[in-house]
Amino acid sequence: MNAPHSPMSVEAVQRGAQWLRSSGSHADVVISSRVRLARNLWGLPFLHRCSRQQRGAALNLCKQRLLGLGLCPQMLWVDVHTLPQIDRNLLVERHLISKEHAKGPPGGSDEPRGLAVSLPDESLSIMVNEEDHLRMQVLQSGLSLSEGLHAIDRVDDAIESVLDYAYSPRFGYLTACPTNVGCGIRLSAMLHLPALKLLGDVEKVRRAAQDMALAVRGFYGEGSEATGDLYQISNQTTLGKGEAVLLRELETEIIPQVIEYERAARRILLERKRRTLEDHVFRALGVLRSARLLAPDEALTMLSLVRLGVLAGLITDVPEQEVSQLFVLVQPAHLQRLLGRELDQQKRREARADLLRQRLGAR
Amino acid sequence: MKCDLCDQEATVHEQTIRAGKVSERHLCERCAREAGISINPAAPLTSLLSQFMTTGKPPAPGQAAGPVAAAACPSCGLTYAKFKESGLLGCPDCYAAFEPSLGPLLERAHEGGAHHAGKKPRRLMQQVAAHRQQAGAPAPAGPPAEAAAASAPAPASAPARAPAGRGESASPQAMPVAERQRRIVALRKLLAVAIGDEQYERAAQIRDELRRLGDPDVPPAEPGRAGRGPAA
Repeated sequence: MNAPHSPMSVEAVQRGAQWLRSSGSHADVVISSRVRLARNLWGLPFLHRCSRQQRGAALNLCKQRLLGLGLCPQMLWVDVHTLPQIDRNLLVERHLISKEHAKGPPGGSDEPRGLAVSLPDESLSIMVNEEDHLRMQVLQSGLSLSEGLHAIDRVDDAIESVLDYAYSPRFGYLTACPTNVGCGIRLSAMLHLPALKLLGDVEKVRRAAQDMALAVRGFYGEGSEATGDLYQISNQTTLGKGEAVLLRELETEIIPQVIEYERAARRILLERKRRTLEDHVFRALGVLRSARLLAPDEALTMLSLVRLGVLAGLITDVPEQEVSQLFVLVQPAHLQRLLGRELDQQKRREARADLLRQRLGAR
Repeated sequence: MKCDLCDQEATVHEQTIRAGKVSERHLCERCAREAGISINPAAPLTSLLSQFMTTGKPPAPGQAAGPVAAAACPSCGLTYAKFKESGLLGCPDCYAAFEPSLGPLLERAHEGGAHHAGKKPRRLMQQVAAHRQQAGAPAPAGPPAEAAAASAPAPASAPARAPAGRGESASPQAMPVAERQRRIVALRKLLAVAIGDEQYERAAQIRDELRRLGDPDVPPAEPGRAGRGPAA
């Protein structure tokens, strides 16, 4: 760790997140791909039924084994429960831990909780003592679910070589919530669908996904709104189908279709509604270059349109990667970490507007 | 395979071991029921295991619990009502304890999926295969019993699962207590997998090995009833 209470250096925060670097296949539509596995230790109750002593034992055992495995050249361990709330939120904003993992007052009954994360790319992260004892994920830019599955599979095998998982031949990997039992896997892709949104066609995607038993969620997962026209599509079932089938359904059936819908919508906007599209895009850029106060949702809405404008070739003086990174950098904890101090809501709006003017200033 | 008593497909296979001699019966469900040996496929694993541990074979009808979920998990004490309230199970054994109620619920939640069809834990499967190969050989030993030993002991009725390695056998009496404990935990894990795979003969061998090691959860053999099964 860099310092007892700062899991990320300011430089790391400024660099943004690897999964937002807009590389990899279909990165014009697919922002990132995430593969997550839920695993539990044999011989212990599930976490919400563990005593504090049992939680501590699970954490120590997992920490010792995970750090001893050499899963990546550099692994950062974070005792999440000792972090100030702002640093926990920073990890949530970078999609390294869930909102649930960030909750709980210091000294609360749901301690201790941990996180192992690969540095500097942050592509592998393992939450210890979340809803399940272990929640591990590989998060990468672009459409890379197969690569992610391959990577997490190796990590899973390595961990299983030193820790005993709760497993039954009938039900597979046993999880606290029965909706995760079986493979314990969640494959998800975060898609940027601004053109479908402008044409009012997002609902079609949602319905098509639901017909295939896939879930559609917002930027920050379950219960979050699709601000910034960012949607996560993921499998909902984990029992009765193997990982390969779940992967095929997502990566070769539904997601390519959605990518094509979005690209077609972008073409329609450019060819038939060019003036309307230009109006949306340049108004958004104008707001980001001029505003003095910006709320997070408004910032994301405008950034989404600016990204569309860049990808459509309308905006030429802003790199696309810069726009994508700003989706995370304008979040509250990131802003405060960049400025090195806590800010109230009004000050955050000021700081957000300042940052956007500075990063997107006319060149 | 045809039923021993009629032309129907045999779905119930009974193996009885008496004084080292094995006899088998293969029956359709109807004939098995009439013969009083049908097995309820939905019987909870815990109940199946506890019955198995006592008698050396799966429960007979009318003797064991039917397809009724336990009111509370015997390992962690979570009630089914509490599970419905929170949506979270209490421990790995809850799946077996509540299986009759949980099964249909899982099928609905997983679009008809009822059985695991994905990855299996690699090391566990290697251990199972190794133990199967050396059936009849002494129990494998292994590294420390992980979570089960590091923190809370596995619940008494739990079919605990812990790593098994390639240790050599020693007489249980000569074995240090910690070592014996590790072997017991390792074997319980293999027993749970064997029962889950309906490999009752293998399960019988593991149970006998557990008994030899003095596992307090394995009752003494009934005279003339249980015994070590023949090597596969």
